[in-house]
Order: sequence, then structure tokens, then C-alpha cells
Amino acid sequence: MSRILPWIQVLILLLTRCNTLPVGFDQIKEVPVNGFVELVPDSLDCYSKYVSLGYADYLLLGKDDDYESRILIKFPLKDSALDSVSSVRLILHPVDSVRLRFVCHPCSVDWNTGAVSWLLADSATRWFHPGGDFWEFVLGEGELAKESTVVELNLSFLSVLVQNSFGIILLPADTGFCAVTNMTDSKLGPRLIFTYRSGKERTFYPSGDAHIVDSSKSQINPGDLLVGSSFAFRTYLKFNLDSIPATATVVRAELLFKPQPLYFRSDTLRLGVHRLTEAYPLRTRYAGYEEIANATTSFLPGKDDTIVKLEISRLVQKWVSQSDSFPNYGLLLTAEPEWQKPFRLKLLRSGTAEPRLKIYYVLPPSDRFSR
Amino acid sequence: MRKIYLLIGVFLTGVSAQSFFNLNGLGEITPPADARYMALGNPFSFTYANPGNFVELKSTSVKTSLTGSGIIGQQNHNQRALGEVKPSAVYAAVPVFNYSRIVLSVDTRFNQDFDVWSESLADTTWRYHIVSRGGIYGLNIGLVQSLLNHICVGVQFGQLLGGSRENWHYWAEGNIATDTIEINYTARNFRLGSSIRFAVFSLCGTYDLPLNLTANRFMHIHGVTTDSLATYHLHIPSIITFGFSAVPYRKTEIYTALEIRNWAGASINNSAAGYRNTCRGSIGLEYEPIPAHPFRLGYSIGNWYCSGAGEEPILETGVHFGTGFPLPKFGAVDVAGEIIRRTSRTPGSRLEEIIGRLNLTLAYEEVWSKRTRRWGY
Repeated sequence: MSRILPWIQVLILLLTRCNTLPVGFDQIKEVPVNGFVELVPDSLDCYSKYVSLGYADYLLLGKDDDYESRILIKFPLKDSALDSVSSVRLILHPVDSVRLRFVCHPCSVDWNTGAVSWLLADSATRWFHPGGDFWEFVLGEGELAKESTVVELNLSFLSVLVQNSFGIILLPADTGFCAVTNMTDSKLGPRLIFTYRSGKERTFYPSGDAHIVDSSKSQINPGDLLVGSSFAFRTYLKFNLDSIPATATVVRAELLFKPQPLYFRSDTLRLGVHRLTEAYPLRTRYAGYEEIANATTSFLPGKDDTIVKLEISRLVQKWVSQSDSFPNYGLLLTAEPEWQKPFRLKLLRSGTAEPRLKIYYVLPPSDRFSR
Repeated sequence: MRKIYLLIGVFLTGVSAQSFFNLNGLGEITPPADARYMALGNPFSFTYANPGNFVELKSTSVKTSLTGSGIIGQQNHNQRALGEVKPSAVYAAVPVFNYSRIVLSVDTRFNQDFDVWSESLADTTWRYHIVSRGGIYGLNIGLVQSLLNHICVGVQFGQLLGGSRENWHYWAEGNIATDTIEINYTARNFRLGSSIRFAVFSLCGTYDLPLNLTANRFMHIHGVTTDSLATYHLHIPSIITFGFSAVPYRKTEIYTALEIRNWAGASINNSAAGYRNTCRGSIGLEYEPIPAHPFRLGYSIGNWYCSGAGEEPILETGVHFGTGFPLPKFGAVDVAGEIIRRTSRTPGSRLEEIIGRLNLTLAYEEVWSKRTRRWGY
């Protein structure tokens, strides 16, 4: 018997689990109602913001008619034996194969990797001059090319660099963009090498780095709905969900739109949608939102008629069924992450390409006694 | 160890079939779990479920059953096979003073187990998968009096308890959401039973007083909204069963039985429940060519008290067969098999299910012996 019972259990499992044909389903006299709604935003808006790019995967240097990007690198230099230094070399490793000339200046104001932006040196200090404060004299010039770039720094300003500066800022001299590895790359990250007259060399590794981006030269219409990276453009969307019963189960909720790429520098653009935690009409651009995106997707800007879909079923389910404790303040559509190479997408406010929220839902079943 | 395993199996792993028709009404009416009478067409009034069925009871008797079953449903050229595991019934009868007996039992009155899948909905891949487990069970105690060695009358009180849990899985390559309907049942049931035996004839019957069943419903909607509560009061009219048996030839006994449920008057919260009057008949033959080794054959026909989805009756016919063996110093073991066919028309199709059951009943008869106490040893 003990040998047979396991086989009986296996047989029962096979019989009950393997076949899912719809036999007997029509015995349910009241199949739960399925619903579908397609909503357009009740309210929408867009704002732009200088964001900190200190945690980007690379450092971006370059400029064109729309964007300008500068690199800041800080080294923990020692104020000793400066007289015996025979040369100082800055080593950079480009990621892209773009030739780009640049100049180096010593920074005159301290800055913070996690908070630095085109406008801010850190979270509480603004640059005196947007784009970074630096000494006017040129510390060195170079050209990003091939696998590595070596810049000989001017030794006459070495004491200023070590004693009165807060790192080096690299300004692009040519049009074009080139990414270089940052300090998270232990082998190919930026380095400063001091060579002494005795022939000895000392290598300094960065204690902080970042790039800062400006897009103030771009021609932007105030009414445009934009999503962009580096210089962040964010679009606020709010959909009215009152038409969906609180007892509904949201099977699928998709945010769809067909963006128009205005500017991009990479083949794949990544987008995300965040839940706002504060009312946008009251707080506008300062309205809080969840840092972790509720949904992300990738968009290929080269293809025409690409519809972007972001699946936010869980979020909509909570908005519908927990409207008191989980209010619907709307969504923030952003580049995800915002430190991607600069891009700018435009969303249409009307027509078939405008943002829509498609919601498939099902109402709860009725029990066997309900009439 | 093997004996313990078998015993646990007998008590806990009885397999009873579910039905695709269990979505309707209160579900399937579960026949008494007794292999001897299952083989004779399940004549209700002859089983231990009839409290007046103990004209002769020499010793304490306990019956417990293990039933293995499977079901194949067919509809629109689709087929599905199902099976499940759940506890079965236990019956006990104890003789007490002055030809009276006490009967105790735990049985299943209604079975609400089912497992169905929907078609893909519209042009999507989303489907429903609805799984229900549960039923209504009776905890019964009865008092029986045997009179003149030919007549027996009994009354039984049953506290009906039970519940079902329907999980409505909304499914698309994995669960998306689950809505759950839980229903708890409570009721009190009174059953009167009697039997008369003269020579080669036996006549027996039961009468169940109308049942007032309270059903409390809890609905959990995808686990995020608060429960939705409702209470239903069901009134189920009485049940009458009759049985007649005779021994026309030596070693041969014939059983016929009838169950009548006038349930068209059933109501839910004072509104008509839409149930039907039903009549179920059965006939069985027991032939014993070798003493204590009978062969049994039965046939039954009837319809369900509730309609199928197409408001058409659910028709049921069954062929039953079995045998029994004595177990020395224990009692007997009865084995029965039955093949049941149920059909009901639905709009545009017909749902048919074939059920095969194999029932094993262990009947324990207490062996009484007078114990003599010797002083000085």
C-alpha cells in the first residue's frame, strides 16, 4: 500500500494540473464583468531642471548648439615637495572614438559629487558663475582621442592647483561630445601623475568627479511636453480614475504615447514613470515623487511610429482600491536614469499620439446565492 | 508502520469526486459513504444514515470508508479529468440498555469542490481559473429504539457545519489577481427514521425536517479592499426516503429505494431559490454464492435539485457493483465501484461527466466477551 499511495498522488496531480480546457465554465451563471477604459490626461504639465549627474556611469565632455557638458575631477593632492616636481600629467580614457579638444582650469570653489550641477556646487551653494567657478588661467590643454589622453599640466600653477583649488574643470573647446571613464573604473579611471626630479612617480586617484550639463541655449517652446536627460525635462500627467469601481481588479494598465525625438545622442533611450507623492498643482516642480520608478522602458528613437508602453497595473490597482490612503497625485514621466547622454523627447498634447492610459479591469465575482 | 499508514489513509485521504455541476445550488448531494450500499445503488434509507435502521445490533459497529474517484468532463469536444483528496464519513452505532442504541456519525451532506478554467477572454490571453474547496458536513447524534425485534424507530440531530472557499484566479501566464469568496454554513437538522422487518421483507424510510441554513459570505477582493459581507437564509424543504428489500430466493436479496426532495419550494432570503423537485430511484441485487462473500449489483437514476447553466435539469444515472469479505476478529471489508453519468444541456452545447468511484469500507464489529475475574491469582 505504501508503494502504491505515492503513485496515486502523482496520478491525481497529473489529472488535475495538466489539463486546463474550459469544461464546465459555462455553469457559472454570472461571469464577472470585464471592463476597459482608455483615459487621456486630466491635467498635464512639463518642467525642466538642472540635475546632479555625479553618479553617472561616465563623464561627458562636449558641446553643440543645444547642450554643453563640462567635467569636474577632484584629487586628494598633498602639499609637500612641490618644488621637486618635474611634471604633472592628467590621464583620461575616452569611451567614445571622438576627437575633442579641451582646456583645463583649476576649480576655485569646492563642490560635491552627489549634488553638483550646472547651477549648484553642492546642495546649499550656488556657483558664482553657472557652469562652475574656476581660475581663469589655463592649467593645460588636450585632445581626447583613441584609448587614452595625456595632458601635461602647467607646473607654474601647481601650487595654486594643490593649495587653492578644488579639483580641475575640463571645458570643451570643440563641438561634439565624448564620454570618458570615471573614478568607479579602478583601472581606466582618471589619474594625476606627479613625476619628481629623482625619477620617482606618484599617482593620485580622484576623490570625486562629475559632469555638469546645460541646455539653456536650446529652443524650447514653453507649452511643450518634454522628457529629457542630463538637463532633465519631466512631464507631469494625471488621469482621473473615478470611472473605475473601487472593487475592480486591474488586470492591466498601460501608459502609452508616441514621442517625437527632438534630440538624442544614443541609440536607446530609457524612460521611466514615477508616482507623485504630493499634489502637483500646489507644489509644481517641487512636488515630491517616488525615487524608484514604477515602470521603465526603452525607446529606439530611430524608428518611426514607435509607441512607448509603460506597464503600471499595480500602481493603478492601488490608486483605485486604496484611494484614501494612496491618493492619485499623478505621474511624472522622466528619463530613467536622468544621467543618460542628453536626449529630449516631445509628447503631443492631443491626437492619436497623445499620452493615454489603457486600463483593463474585472469586477468581483458574485457568490452562488446572490440574485 | 504499514498498518498505521493504512489507518491514516482510511481516515484522512478519502477521495471524493468533484463535479463541474458543483457551481450550482449547494453543490452535489453526497451519498452515504458505505461500500455495501454503494454497490446496491446507494439506497439511502438502508444505510447507517437512517437512524431507524438498527433492528438488530448485537455489538458496537463502526464504519469508515476510503473512496477513490475520478471524473472526466466533456463539453464541445474538450475533455478534462479531475480528482481530489478529502476526508470521508464515519458512522458508529452503540447498543445500550433495553434494545436502544446510540448512533454517532460525521458525514458530508453537500460537496462544493470544483475546478474550472475559462476560455481565453475576448482577444486576450487572460483566463479565469476558479477553484473551490469545501462542503457542508453533519455532526450527528441519534437515539434509536428497537421494538419487538421487528420494528425500529430513531431520531437523529445533526449540527450542520461547513464552508467553501472559491478562489477566482485571474490568470495570464501566472496569477494576476485572486478574488476569494468564502461561505460558512450553519444549520440544525432533525431526521426521523424507521424500519420494519418481517421474514424476508424489510421496509424502511426517513424524513428530514425542513432545513433552515444560514450562509455567511465573506468576499476578499484581491486582498486590498475590505471584506464584503453578506448573510443568506436558506430554507430547504423536507426530504423523504423509502426503501424496500426482499429475499425472493435463497442467498439473494433485492433492494429498491426512492428519495423524494420537494425542493421547488426552497428559498433564499424569502425569494424562490429556483430549485427543482427531484426523485431518485435505485434498485440493487445482492447474491451470496459463498457464505460471507456476496456479489452486489445496482442501478440508480435521478436528477439534481438544481438546474444546469441552461436551466435544463442535470440528469444522473449510475451503475454500481461490489463485493465484501469478512475480516476475522475485526468485522468486514466491503468494496464497491460505481460509474455515474451526468448530463445537462447548456446553450449551444452539452456538458457530460463520467465519474468512476472505487469505495472501500472497513466495518468494525466489536467482539463482546464476558470477563471472569478470579480471586487469589
